[in-house]
Amino acid sequence: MSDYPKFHLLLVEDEPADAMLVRQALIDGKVLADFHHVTDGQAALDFLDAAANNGHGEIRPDLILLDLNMPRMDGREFLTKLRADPRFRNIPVVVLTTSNTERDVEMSYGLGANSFITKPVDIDQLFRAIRTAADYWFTVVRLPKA
Amino acid sequence: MIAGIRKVWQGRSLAERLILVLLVCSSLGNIALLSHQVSEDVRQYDEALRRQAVEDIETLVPAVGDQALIGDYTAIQQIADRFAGHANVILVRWIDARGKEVLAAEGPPPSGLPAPVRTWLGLAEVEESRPVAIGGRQYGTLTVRLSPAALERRLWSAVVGDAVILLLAWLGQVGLTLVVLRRSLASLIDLDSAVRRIETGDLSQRLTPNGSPEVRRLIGAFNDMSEALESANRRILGSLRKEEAAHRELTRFSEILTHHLQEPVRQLISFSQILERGDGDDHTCLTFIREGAARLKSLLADIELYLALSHLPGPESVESVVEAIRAAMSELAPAIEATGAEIILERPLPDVWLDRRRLTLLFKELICNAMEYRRAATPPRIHVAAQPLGGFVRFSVDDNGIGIESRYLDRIFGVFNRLHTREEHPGNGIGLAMVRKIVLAAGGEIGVKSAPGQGSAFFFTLPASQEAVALE
Repeated sequence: MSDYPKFHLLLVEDEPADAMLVRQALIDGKVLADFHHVTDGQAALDFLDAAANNGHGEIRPDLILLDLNMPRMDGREFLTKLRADPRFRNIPVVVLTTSNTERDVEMSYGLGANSFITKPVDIDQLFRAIRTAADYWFTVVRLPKA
Repeated sequence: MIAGIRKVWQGRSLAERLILVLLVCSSLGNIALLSHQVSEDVRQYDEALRRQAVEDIETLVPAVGDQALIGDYTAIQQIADRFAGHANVILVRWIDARGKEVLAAEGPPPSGLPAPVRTWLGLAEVEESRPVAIGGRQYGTLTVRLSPAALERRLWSAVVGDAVILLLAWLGQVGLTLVVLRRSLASLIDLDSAVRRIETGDLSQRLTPNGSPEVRRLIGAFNDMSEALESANRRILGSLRKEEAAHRELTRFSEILTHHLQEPVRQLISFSQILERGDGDDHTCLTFIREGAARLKSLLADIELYLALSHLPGPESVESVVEAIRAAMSELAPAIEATGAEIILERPLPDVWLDRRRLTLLFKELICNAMEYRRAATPPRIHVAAQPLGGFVRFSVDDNGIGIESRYLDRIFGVFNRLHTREEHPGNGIGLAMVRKIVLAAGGEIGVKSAPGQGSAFFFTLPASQEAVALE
C-alpha cells in the first residue's frame, strides 16, 4: 500500500452529524485518504492558507467536499473565493448538499464546482455516493500536482 | 340623391357640419330678409309714385281748367311743358272735347339699371287721368304719367346697401363662429389626444380647463377621471408590489424550510439506519438522533412563530414602547439575571402604531440577541433610545457585545441565517428575521451598524401614528 500516493480530503460541513456520516462513509468505503474537517468556509480558507504557508502541519487537500449552507461563510462565497485564488483554483470541489434546487446546481457549477451531489436520505445511497465520488477523484482521474 | 347627401354628411367633422348648417341657414335667412325688405320698399315706392301722380294731376286740373275755359291752347302747352320738367313726370297730355290734343312729353330718363334688375324690382310707370269739368260742362281729359326710374335707382342703391350690410354681418357671424368653434374644438382635440395617451398607459394626463362651460366641465371630468385612474393604478401597483414581495418571501421561505427541515430529518433516518446495522457507536447514534429530533421540534416551533406573525391582529391604538420593553424584560428575566445584563432606556421613548404583541416580541428578540452575543467577561449593556423622524420614530438598540463583521451585516436578518455554529451559539436564526419582518410589515426600515469587538447598533423605524402608515 505504501507505493500508493497519500490523498487528503477536506470536508467543509457545519453539521457534526453530517460530518460524522461522511467520515463513516469513507471508512466503510475503505477510501485511502486523510480526512480533514472544518465547519465553515472561512475556516476552510484559513486551513488552505495555513497549508500553503506550510504551517501547523495542515496539508493541501486533493479534494474538497463542500456543504452549501453554513454559518459565517457559506459554500457559495467559499467557492467564489477559492476559484479567485490562483493557489487553489485547481483543487477539485464536490458540492455535497441537501439542496436539490436547480438554482443551486447551476450556481455551483457556475462558481466552478466540479460535481454536485444532493445528499440522498438513505444511508446506503449516501455512503455509495460519497465512496463513488472519492474513488473517482482519487483513483480514476489524474489530479494536478500541488 | 338623399343617400349621397347623407354619405357626404357622415364623413364631415363637427366643425364642417356646423359651418355648413350655419352657411345654409344664414344665407337663406338673409336672402329672405332682403327680399322682404325689397318688396316692402317696392310697395312704398309704388304708393309714393301714385300719390305724387294724384297730387300732380290735382295741381294741374285747375290751372289747365282756367285756360281751357278761354281756349288758350298756347298757355295750356306752356303749363304742360313746364310741368313735364317736374320730378318723375314724363308725360302731360290734354285732350279736349273736340279731340284736340296738347302733348308735352319728356323721354323717360335713363334709370341706368339693367333690365333684369328692373323686372325684379317690378316698379311700373304710373298714369293718372282726370276729366276737367267747369260748371257742369266737360272741356276735356288731363293725363299725367310718372316714371319710376329715379325711385328705382334709389331703391336699388338701398337694396345694395342692405345687401352689403347683411353680407358684412354674415361674414362676421361665420368668422366669429369659426373662431369659437376652433377654440372649443382645440380643447376637444387636446382632450382626444390626452385620452389616447391614457390609453397607452400614461396616466399623468391633466388638461387646463378652457373653452365653453360644458367643455370646461368635460375637461374637469377628464382630469378627475385620470386622477382617479392614476391613484387607483398607484394603489394596485402598490398592492401588487406588496404581493410580489410577499410571494418572493414565501418562495424563499419554503426553499429555506425544505433545506433546514431536511437536515434533522436526514439525521434521524441516517443514524437510525446506522444503529440498525450495528456498525457504529450506539451512544453517539442515539445522541445524534435525540439532537436531530430536538432540532426538528425547535425548528417547527420557530417556523410556527414566524408564520404566526402574519396573522396577529394589527394595532388599534398607539402602543407604549416603554411598557412593551418592560414586558419583554419580564419574559427574559432569567436570562437577564444570568448574564447580569443592564438595559438602559433613554426617555422619552414615544408611542408607536404597532400592536403590543409584535412590539414586545421585537424588543424581546433584540435584547435576547444582544445578550446572546455578549463579550465573554463583560456583562451586556443594552441602550435603547428614540427620536422622531417625520411621521415615524427612529429607535436605536445598541449593545457592547462581540459585534459583527461588516460583510455579514446583510445576512443577519435572513431566515435561519446563522453566523455561528449551533455549538457556539444555540438557536435557529429566526429571531432577527422576525424583527425584520415586524418592522417591514409596519412600513418601517431596519439596519445595523457594527464592527467586531465594537458592539452592534441596531436601528429601525416604526410609524408614530396611523396617518404615518397611510402616507407611506
